[in-house]
Amino acid sequence: MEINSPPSNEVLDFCNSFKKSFKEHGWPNSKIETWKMTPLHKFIKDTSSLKHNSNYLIPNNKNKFINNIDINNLEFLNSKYFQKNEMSRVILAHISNAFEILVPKNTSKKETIDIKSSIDAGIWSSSLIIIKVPENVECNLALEFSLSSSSLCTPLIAIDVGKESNLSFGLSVINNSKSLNASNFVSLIEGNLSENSNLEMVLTQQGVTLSRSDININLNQNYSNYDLIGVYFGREKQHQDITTCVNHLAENTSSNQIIRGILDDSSVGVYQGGVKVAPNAQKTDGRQMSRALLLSNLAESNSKPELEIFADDVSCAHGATIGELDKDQFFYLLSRGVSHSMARELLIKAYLNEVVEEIQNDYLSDKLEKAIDFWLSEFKMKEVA
Amino acid sequence: MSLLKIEDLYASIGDEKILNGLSLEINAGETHAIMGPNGSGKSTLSYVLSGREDYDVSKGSVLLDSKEILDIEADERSRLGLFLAFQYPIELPGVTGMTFLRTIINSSRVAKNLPELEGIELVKLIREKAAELEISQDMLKRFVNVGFSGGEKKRFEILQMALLDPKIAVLDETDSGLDVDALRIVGKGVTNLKSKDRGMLVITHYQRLLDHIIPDFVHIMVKGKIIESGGPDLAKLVEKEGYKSFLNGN
Repeated sequence: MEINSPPSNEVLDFCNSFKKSFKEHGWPNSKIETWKMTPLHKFIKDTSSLKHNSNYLIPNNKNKFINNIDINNLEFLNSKYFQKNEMSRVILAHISNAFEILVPKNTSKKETIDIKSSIDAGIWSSSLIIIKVPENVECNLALEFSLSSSSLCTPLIAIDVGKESNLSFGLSVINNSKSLNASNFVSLIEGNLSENSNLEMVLTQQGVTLSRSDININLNQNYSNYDLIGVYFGREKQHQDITTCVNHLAENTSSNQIIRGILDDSSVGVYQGGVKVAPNAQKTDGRQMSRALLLSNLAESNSKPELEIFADDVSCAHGATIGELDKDQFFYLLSRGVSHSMARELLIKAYLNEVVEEIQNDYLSDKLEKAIDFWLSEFKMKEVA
Repeated sequence: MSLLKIEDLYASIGDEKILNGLSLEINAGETHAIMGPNGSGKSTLSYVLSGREDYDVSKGSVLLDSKEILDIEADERSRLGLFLAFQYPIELPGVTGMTFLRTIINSSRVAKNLPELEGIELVKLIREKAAELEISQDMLKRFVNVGFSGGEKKRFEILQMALLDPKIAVLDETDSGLDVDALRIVGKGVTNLKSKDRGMLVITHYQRLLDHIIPDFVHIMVKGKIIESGGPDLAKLVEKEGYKSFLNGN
């Protein structure tokens, strides 16, 4: 079942102010602090040849829960965050789809709603996707963007998790063609969490030329929790960027961000991880840890943790490492008769296995394992060549 | 039959000369022990034999079952039948014991032109050997050496040795970090692996390991070469008098 949802005239009217703003400011540039390490102009040069077609969403579930957006639900876009954000104006000025995913109350936590979206060659898809999880619901949702060569995908995803609810959300970006020619993904994701709610996010970026996920999470009410597992794979000249900001806005909120990157050839990885703790957000527990594994001398990784803490009774931790495969581990495997190529493969897989183990949701951990295997199969092919 | 023949071996790391003309021959069925004070080059010998890259071998030869191995890589040496039990086994976070053992068993089997083992057959083989070394199933599910006690690490080394069935096993300070009970289990495990087709080289500081793994020959190594060889009594002499008398002679 394919679902297509071009924006209504009302939605287009609503986006007019963003259009004006885009005309004035254009794409984000490197003068903006959070864009310094991702020079967009090097990847997205001329968009005039791209067609603004709406793309289909293909869910695995027949329930009718994907709807057209209700104009009354766009109020959140008037917030200071979206009004000022450099990408929201790009996305909304070029809006080609507007969906609302209303998670049904009777969703079983054993099931996973899996939604695929393919972006064909020559298309610029700019979707607005609202995901609403009502109160007291456990839901697993996987969203996959699959890009063809010469395509651009700029989704704005707004997630709302109701009181006492749990959402396991998988977001993956993949390339569906062998050619790595100019497929770019630049997303803006916002999450709002209510009391005692939980958002587990598993983000996988693979295969496209430029991939950036800009994630802003608001832990609005007490005892809300956000976990992010972000994994990016870079090869050739790909550029992988995960930029986050977790806003602890209430007491006893917690967040844990774990990022793993693998960079081969002359690919570049960026992680900018922000944690902000408001003055009233006592007993916050905010953690982040990023690791990048460089498989080539030309690969590059940039990591920038940013902590802004205004409360005094908090526990925050951050760490970042960048390194190569461990020589001692490598020798240990060789000394057991394991070949060089198999030792490399085993250690790369091990490096990622550690995060797979952290994922609570089996469907999402399986999905990540498949992504890892796919990347390794391409890696092996390169080694053989 | 000579399984390992080291002749006039010189090796250094950076500018530091560590092995200075070491020679040693181990025949099938023999267990040799090398003892020596700290810094005499014992661990270097084990690394040079197993093919670690950091060392520069300037002279000499090492024949494994009559084949020169100094110019071949570590993984190939292992597949030819050389095994090193590490003094400090390396942690492999993210690699479970079972995955690791399956990989090394099948790498070795492929080299011997044997079909790869999978499924029940593989599990049965591993369980059987693990039980002999009092290694629990739970330990095999954990990441290799991560959070293992000293005794568990050394038992896991001996398990690998049992599964790879090498021609020559080099045990580097296998007694370090072991309490009395662990020493007994490891000693028994190694003794069970003694065979008429295998040679063993046990490297140790102390005589206590040699109460459990009785050697046929004991060599004293000082400043990168063997300065005295004898029977098990030589180890007892070291235990009683230390290395002083040997050092003074050099």
